[in-house]
Order: sequence, then structure tokens, then C-alpha cells
Amino acid sequence: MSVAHKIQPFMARSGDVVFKEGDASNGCMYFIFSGEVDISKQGLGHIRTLSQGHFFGEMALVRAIPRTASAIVASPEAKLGQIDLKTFAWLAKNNPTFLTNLIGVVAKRAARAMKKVNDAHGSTGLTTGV
Amino acid sequence: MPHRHLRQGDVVYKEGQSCDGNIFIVIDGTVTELVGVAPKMSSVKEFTAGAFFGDIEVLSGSDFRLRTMKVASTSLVLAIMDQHNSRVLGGLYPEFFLHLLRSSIDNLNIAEKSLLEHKKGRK
Repeated sequence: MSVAHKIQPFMARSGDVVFKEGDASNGCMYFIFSGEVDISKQGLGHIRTLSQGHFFGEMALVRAIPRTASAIVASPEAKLGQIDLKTFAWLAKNNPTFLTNLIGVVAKRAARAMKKVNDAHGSTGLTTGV
Repeated sequence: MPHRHLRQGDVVYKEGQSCDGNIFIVIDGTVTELVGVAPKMSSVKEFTAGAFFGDIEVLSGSDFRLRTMKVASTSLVLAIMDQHNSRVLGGLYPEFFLHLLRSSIDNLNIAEKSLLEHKKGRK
């Protein structure tokens, strides 16, 4: 079985709300097979537009908290896939590369934020005298 | 997996040091994650037996370590896991990938909170 079959794609149209900030978590994250999705947050407005190969809503997989941002389809059509814990476990066994790439994206977001924290603390990137 | 034995005050790695591609698992002891420049370094998080660190740099493909990790307990035993081993482990125990994802999300949240507090502090 391929990743696409396991993730079970579904179609969405422009303006469709995948989830809204504050919504209760359904325990699923989403993968974009095609199309674009806008991520926005109250007070910050539009954060980013995600496209093919990207995913979003990953926090719901590991934390049972309300959605922290809204996801709305931006392209005329989008093909999306839901990933729940069961699918996540299947991917880990059958397609670890897909999963490490997916985790890598979150790690990159974390690394960028950590670098900003370092800059805020005046780090030069070359620590001395520890 | 190879092991590494360290003593209190030893540094596992420093911020800015080139990343060797290893993830470290704490077998025994405590490690403190430090941010900032010496002598004004602050502890962000502590890692005890069963916890792992170094994953963010490896998974994000960073060339450099983003934090300084220092031994807080009298002694420390670490298991060293390279990228090949982490893939094998993930295949055998899917929960491991979930732990990696959780770790990345937690690091992201901690960093974002810290940035927000820093911004508030400047106002």
C-alpha cells in the first residue's frame, strides 16, 4: 500500500476551512498532495501559505489542545490527506523516510526559532568560556 | 550503541560547534541545556534518564549545534545514536518517531514562548 492510499486524500475548494483557531483537536495533522493552504492566527493575521509536500496541524498528533491557528484552502482546489496516530504508526513502519522528512520540517521550524532565541540572548554562535 | 561517560561540569557540546549528526540518550544522570553567552547563560531545560537531545540539529540538517549541553549531575552516561540507528529504531518502535515529533514541537513552543517573553521584556 502506498503512502497516498494510506493517508486517504480528500478534495477541498478555495475558502474551505480545514480547521479554525480554537477548534477542538480531532487528533489529526494534514498533508498537502496538491494546492495551497493559508495558515493564519488571530492578532498576527496571515502567517504562511503552504503548498504541495507541506503539512500542517501537527501539534494535534501529540497534544490534545485546541487548534492554535486557522487553515483555509487558498487555491481553487486542493488535495489534502489526514494523518492520525494510527497512520503515523503505519508510516513509521513502512515509510520511515517519509516520516523523517516530515519530522525534519518541524525540526527546521524549531531550529529557526531557537536561532532567534540565541540572537536575542546575544549569542555569536561561537560559545566560549563554558 | 556506543556509550560516553562524563563528569559534572563537562560539556557534551557547545552552541556553534559543528554538528556530528548524533542524537544523545541519557542513560544515567542529568544534563542541562543552556542558552546565551558565558557567563550569562541560562538553563532552558534539564534532561534525565530516558530523555534524548541533539535531535533538532540532526533532524533540521543544521551544520552547528544550537545549544550548549552541560553535565549537571555528579556523573553522566550517554548512549550515542547516529542517523542510521535512529531510522532502525523508528522502524522497530514507531513511538520513537512520535517522541521525535513531540520533541521538535516542544522545542518550537519553548523557543516561541521565550521570544515572546523577550519581546515583552523590551517593551
